Amino acid sequence: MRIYLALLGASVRAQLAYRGAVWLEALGRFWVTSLELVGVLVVFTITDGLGGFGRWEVVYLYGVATTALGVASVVTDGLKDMPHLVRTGQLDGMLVRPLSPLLQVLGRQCRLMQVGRPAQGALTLLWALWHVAPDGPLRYGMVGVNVAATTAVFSGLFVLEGASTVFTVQAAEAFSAFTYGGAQMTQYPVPIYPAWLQRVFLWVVPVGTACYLPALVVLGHPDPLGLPGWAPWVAPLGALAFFGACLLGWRAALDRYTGTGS
Amino acid sequence: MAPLLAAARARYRQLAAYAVANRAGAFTNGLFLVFRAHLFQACFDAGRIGGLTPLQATGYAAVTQALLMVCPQWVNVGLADTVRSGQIAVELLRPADFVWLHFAGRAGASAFYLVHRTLPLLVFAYAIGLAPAPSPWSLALCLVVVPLAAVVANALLFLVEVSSFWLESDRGVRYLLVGVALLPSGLSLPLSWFPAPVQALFLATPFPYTLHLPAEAFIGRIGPEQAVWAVGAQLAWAIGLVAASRWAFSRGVRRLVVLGG
Repeated sequence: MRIYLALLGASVRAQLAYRGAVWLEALGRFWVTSLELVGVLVVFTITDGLGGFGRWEVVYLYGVATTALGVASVVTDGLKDMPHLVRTGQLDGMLVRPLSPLLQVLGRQCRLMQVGRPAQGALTLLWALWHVAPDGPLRYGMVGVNVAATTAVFSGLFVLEGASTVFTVQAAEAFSAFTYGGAQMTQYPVPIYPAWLQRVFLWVVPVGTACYLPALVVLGHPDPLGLPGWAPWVAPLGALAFFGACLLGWRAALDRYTGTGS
Repeated sequence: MAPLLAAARARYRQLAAYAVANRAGAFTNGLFLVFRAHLFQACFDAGRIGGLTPLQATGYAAVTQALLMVCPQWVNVGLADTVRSGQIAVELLRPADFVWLHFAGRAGASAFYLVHRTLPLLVFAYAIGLAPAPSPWSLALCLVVVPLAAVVANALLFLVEVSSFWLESDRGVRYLLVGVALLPSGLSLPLSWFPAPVQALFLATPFPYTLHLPAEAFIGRIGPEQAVWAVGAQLAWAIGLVAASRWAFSRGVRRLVVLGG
């Protein structure tokens, strides 16, 4: 952990040499992410509810999904280099060092401009909470659990995406369907989607499990899907288990790594 | 003409070599299509919104997603990389006009994605009941509108990347384009769902002519009379933006100093 932080610290200091460019790009991301929120608000000028959820409830979901995806992509930024590392064979060098390859890859970079998205998500989340006003400290605590669980699922997906490059560097875009696509999906209530999609995002890739189910507790909203009452409480554990499974997947993939030859 | 055709064909074949990548991209594109279409559907209680029926709205989502690679909104078209690496010096030595060669290559890419991305996705959307079957008139109109849309979109990207002659990096300008184009292009929501003054503002920009107009044409919202005006405006933007691309490029080349020996 300490080594990881040291590596990240070096990356961050290097970027601060170009402070202006970093800030501009972070602002740019903040703005582009905000346009999605504008989309949500425009939708609510033409309709009063989506799948039985009101405007601020949907803005809350948007806040959780955006913050979680943002934090996950900042933390796992180093993995975006994986196709390059595999293609050039630099990964071989990492495997012989006495440090977990995952930590080495993660520590390679952490681009500060990425903070635009989580910053926008967190501000939106606060804005939504101010309007939704959950009652009781338990529900506020659940907000933290909600964001943490969703972040764990997105981080796991980014790790799997990185691991997939060991087999082919071409398939990485398919994972965007679950990361960026997953965030796009869960910023709206799960019940608006057809049953097969609900099943995929609740049981296979638990983005919906982590984002939507705990949100029901925070919002004090009855579950239109008819899942048992304890489901929102075990959902975060499911998210954690998924994250663990992704780490195992990373390890299994590296065990099968054969290099690109020389 | 022959070198231009060769450039287009080469780009087509280059993309065809990465079959897995294209399938991965189509998968992601398709899932986004389903998400957006169901979001639009969920907005309907009854009747129409902004003049659209539920099937037209989901069709709008389908066409804008399906055309995303044909009329690209944020793809790296390679000009900035060529300038930054100095490769541009070699490119300029070729006995063919660089700008036309570039657009010919982009035409090849658009043709590839039209066949291998747009058509499968539209068939998929139709099969699961998210897109209407287009009338012969709509299809004929699309044959005119889609190629012009690809020209407008590629000229906008060319203008973004040509900024790298003046700036160290085109990333800032690229973000500016995404930030300005996302809503008026129709990728986010149907334009007719925005308040009327906002719509008017959007329609005064070139962005609706990249995705919004083809989508409206496909779902049958443009009659022969409106088509004359819409295609006229689109043609004007296409010619204007390509002319601007040529002009900016020739200015940029005059400024160009390539390092190295």
